[in-house]
Amino acid sequence: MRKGRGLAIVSAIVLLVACGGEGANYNPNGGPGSLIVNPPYRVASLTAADFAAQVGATASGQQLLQVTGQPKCGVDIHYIMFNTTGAAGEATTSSGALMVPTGDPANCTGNRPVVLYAHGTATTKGYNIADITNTHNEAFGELGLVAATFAAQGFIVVAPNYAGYDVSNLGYHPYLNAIQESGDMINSLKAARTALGSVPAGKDTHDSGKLYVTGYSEGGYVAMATLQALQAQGTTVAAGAPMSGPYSVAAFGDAVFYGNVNLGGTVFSPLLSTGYQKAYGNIYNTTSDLFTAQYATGIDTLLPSAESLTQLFQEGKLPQAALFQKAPTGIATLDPISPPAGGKFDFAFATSGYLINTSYRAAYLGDAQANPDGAVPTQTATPFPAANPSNGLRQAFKKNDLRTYQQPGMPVLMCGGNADPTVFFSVNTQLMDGIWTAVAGQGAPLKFAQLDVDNSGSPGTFTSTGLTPVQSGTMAAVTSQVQAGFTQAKQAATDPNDPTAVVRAYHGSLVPPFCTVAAREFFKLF
Amino acid sequence: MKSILPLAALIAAFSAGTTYADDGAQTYPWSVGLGAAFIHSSAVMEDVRGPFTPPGLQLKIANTYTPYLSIARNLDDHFDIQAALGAPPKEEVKGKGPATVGSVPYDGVTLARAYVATPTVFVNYHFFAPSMPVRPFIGVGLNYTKFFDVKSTPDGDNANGGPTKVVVDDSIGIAGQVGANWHIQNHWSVKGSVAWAQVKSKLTATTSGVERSTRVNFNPTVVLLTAEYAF
Repeated sequence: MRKGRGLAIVSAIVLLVACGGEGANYNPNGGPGSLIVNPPYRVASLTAADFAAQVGATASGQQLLQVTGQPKCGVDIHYIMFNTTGAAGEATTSSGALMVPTGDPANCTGNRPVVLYAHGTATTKGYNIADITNTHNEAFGELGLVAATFAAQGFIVVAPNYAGYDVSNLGYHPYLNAIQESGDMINSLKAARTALGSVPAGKDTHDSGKLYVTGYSEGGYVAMATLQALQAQGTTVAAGAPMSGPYSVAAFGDAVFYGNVNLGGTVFSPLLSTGYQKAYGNIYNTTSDLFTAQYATGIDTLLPSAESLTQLFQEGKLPQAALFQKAPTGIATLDPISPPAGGKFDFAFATSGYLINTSYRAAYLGDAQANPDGAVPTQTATPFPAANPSNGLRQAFKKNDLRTYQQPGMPVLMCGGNADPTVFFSVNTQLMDGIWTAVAGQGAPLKFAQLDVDNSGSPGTFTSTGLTPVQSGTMAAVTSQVQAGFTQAKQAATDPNDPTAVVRAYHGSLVPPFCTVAAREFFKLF
Repeated sequence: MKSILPLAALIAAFSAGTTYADDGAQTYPWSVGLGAAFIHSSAVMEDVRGPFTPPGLQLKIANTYTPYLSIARNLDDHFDIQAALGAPPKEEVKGKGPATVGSVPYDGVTLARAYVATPTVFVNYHFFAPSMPVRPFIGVGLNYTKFFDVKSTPDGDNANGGPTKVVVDDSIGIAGQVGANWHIQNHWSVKGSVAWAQVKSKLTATTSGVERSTRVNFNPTVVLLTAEYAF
């Protein structure tokens, strides 16, 4: 029954927006950041007690509340639709959530800070972080985490779904596109601020003007890009907390092509190639340049999909794990890294049914060797993207690499787990931290920190630059708590019958609650 | 969508002649009735459906009274054709389902109000002779139901998630009634009857761009009591 529901719902809303909603003002023709329906639809209004009961109805929900804390505030969740811009400058629409805390005047109403939240990679088109009524929506878990961590604790939350998802009329998603996605975030904030003026909860709860930006995974990248964009516009941000994000996407991309493949690589590939092809037009002439014949047809419209990932795998439209050809590849220089020695990346290599053409991989690596990244495969004294990549995908990666953000003007916490198999911690978080450390060392008054929730590996620590002793002391205590919680969660996920259980849960389930709570505690300091 | 059928029947009635009972007692071709109708709706419906809408949400229609007017024309000693209309009563649509949706009250809350016009045309068969003081009758006919001035209440807006516009489609359906006429003296009678009609409609609520709808079978039962004046 659920299979077709997402599309049916999307079409019901789209149709009605086209027809207009009496009682609410309908304005589809405003510029970027304008709210299309005002006041926006309120999906749910929950008291603190009812919110706690609803989240706590399941065992996993109860565990979540133990990490985030019991709700202090009620939450009104609104569904906002707004205008934004696509990756090729096209006018388009997007949607998202506005969560307004209600109830207790001491902690919940009056002037409250805003958290602008960027969500992680989604594969289903129906992703909607405002839809608390549908437990099957791909966004439901993240919605619960963000509502419990922030909204129920007195923060106003603005969370876009991103262009290309839900009712957005953009026919693709501009994945890891710094300009488009930071623009989408900024437009969602503008629309949400308009909405706050007309929603019922807005009578008592107001934007204090204090803005925080955070996000997880793709959202960590988007949060970082948004901090950079807001700073460039001259907008004051109180603090930022990108989490587990692929910030140095060019270094990360090179690492993957060199054979250090990330878990989920087959899913990220079509999102990246389609998004960048729509933006720049030079990733491929036809999809079969990049993708093997088995998968090439239709792969540029495959994701986001009306179907679940499981269905796509079952239908053979995407391989579950095999990204590259396993040796022998016929190319002598490729064979030693197909897969690289050590066994860690064997899952991503197969003799058949792999996703990326060997010839494309070879061409990419040829460019990587001719125009190397300053961090991969070798960390150099100038760990920045290649000077002049000639491969289309490497050019796109370089355009969107956030190592250009070298002087954050607000306190920034980067949180993650060092053993993250999906978004590598060392080549993203530690690389950014190293660059900022060097810049701070030259005298720039930066304030930043790095928190590794996983103290079973390296670094396993909290480090900071430019924080006061009280601030770093507070975060050290927070670190102990979240590391203890993470260790417990990791133990609970361990399955003697399934050696991959922890690895598969690491990025998507184990790290997020602990980093998100750490982000909140960091925000409270500023 | 109005049907011309009731009108055609009325036109046919005009051309029927005046009839007189065999015993010479005068029977009058026309009668006008004025009284009251009590309307009970045992509405049956699908769950309200739409985006963001959990299952199990239904509506109930409150009972209502209304003044009632009818005009009838005898076709012969037994048959008459009758057009009936209540002063459009205000109907209240209340939530039926969980006590709250989220933390917002739902069950028993008045979500919308509407005025309903239900003109109905019956062809009735009166038993016994016209001279008998009490004559039971049965009737079958056609009902047209129109909902107008349909408005969501503030509680309805609250439950729906924002300012809400409600539209209820018109209905045409078969109607039936049974009753009895008690001839008191000369022009005057008292008539009591129970009537049913097939009233089906689609109810659509649009809230800030989100549309939800349900199909309702109103199943009205109407108890009528009128004073009749024949002429």
